Amino acid sequence: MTSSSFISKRHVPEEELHAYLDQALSRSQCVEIESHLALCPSCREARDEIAALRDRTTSLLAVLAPPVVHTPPVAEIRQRVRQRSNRRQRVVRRTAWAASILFAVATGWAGRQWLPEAEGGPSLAPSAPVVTVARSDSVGALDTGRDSANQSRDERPPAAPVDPAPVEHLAVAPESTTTAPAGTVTTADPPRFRASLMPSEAALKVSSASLPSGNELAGDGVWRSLSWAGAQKENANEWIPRVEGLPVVDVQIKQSTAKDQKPLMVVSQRLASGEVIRTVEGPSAEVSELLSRQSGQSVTAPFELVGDSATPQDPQPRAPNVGRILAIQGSISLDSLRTLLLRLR
Amino acid sequence: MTDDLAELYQTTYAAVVRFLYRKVWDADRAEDLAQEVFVRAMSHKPDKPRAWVFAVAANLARDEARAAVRRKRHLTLLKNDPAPLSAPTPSPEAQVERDEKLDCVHDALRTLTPRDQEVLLLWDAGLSYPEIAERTGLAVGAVGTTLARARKRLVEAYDKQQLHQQAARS
Repeated sequence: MTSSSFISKRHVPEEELHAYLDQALSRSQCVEIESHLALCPSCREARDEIAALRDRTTSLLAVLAPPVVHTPPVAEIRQRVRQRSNRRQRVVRRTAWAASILFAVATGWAGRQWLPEAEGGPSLAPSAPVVTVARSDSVGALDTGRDSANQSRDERPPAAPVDPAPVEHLAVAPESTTTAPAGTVTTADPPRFRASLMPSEAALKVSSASLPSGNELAGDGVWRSLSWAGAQKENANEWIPRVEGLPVVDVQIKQSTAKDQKPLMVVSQRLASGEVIRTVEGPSAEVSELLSRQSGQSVTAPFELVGDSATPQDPQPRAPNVGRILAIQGSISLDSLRTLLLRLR
Repeated sequence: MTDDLAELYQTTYAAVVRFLYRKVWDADRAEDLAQEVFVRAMSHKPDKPRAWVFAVAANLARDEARAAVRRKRHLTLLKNDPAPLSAPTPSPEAQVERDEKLDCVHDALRTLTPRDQEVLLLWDAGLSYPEIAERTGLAVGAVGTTLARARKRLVEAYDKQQLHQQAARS
């Protein structure tokens, strides 16, 4: 198809006539061919034959088609694109969740591997397993409001806000030490927020970390110790994590350096056996740092904060909840901690 | 999704269905796959959407064919497989005639080499020579040669089929 080859005396090759009729040649190539055709009857004949062949092929292929093709509305295709991207976002969220678990496990493991146990100093409670509960991002930035609603419907167990529904996923084998402790203290006020465990991811993960003792809650910032009543009074609008049905020993609060940021909270509760378990809630980095400082074990699971219907003015978890995690510590078996985790309110 | 893709969808959907139909030989499946192609196109927003659409369609059809081979292997007892080329048309005579012609063209097309088939079907779907070249790895100059050969072979093979059928009838 080189243009210089189209000398008027030279006959036009077959494939060039195909390309010519298919309008696949440049304007100058067309001019050359047309000037040859004007002078060459045999090439004109060849062109007509090829044109007929071309038409015949097209008409034969036209038979090979579904009888009727209705083009669905574009909106239908767009809808499917949206559905698919939503599904992809869910996968991303789950992956992010899994990564947070891995992070917690790795942090704990690193703490045990590299930091000598003595470094943590004397503990009020002996070295003990920790249950860490990572938040699911129910108000994740990726979501539109509608998606968020779907998301919650998809992944939350029907009775989750009230009932520890995911028990069946967790294969919990409770120990007698942790169940129905005597001297239960309950508070009159209903909890403002509840932790709702996500059902889909089955196993709670075990990692190696434990909290430093009460006096060892080091790091930057000022720690304060409060009674349960005092803590409730002071944090009337906050969710204070605790295991329902266990007396609260004290609540330790570390005010965050950032303004408007919820504080880091450590709620100590006594089991019937006398052991003290502690629930930690705070920014994931700070909690992880606490966990990494000592050896021990932790069990993790996602949770989300569900606004209580009693507080309609606060229908969604507020922004400061994003990036926070929840942990339980106690010198009891992991199974017991898992049971306690399900009783977190 | 850009308006360009919406426009491409409106103008090309039927061509993609035809293109796929000639590979999977099932109208419903061809439509399903064509919709899948455009869902993917609207998620990916490719630079050269037309060529991209047909490339993805060809890949989906190939996967489909592989899956069909697997299914056949596993379901050897499945005898009530409907004739793949049957299509509802008003009168029975017209349908028989149409089906016969369709079978002939189908068989004729299968006598072509895979590359000749691909180039011919891409051309018939409306792709330009450069687009066909990009899709098939041929030089642009070779597309005309391939098309010339493919057209000639298709028509020759079809005529031969017709002769066979006439001989069989008489």
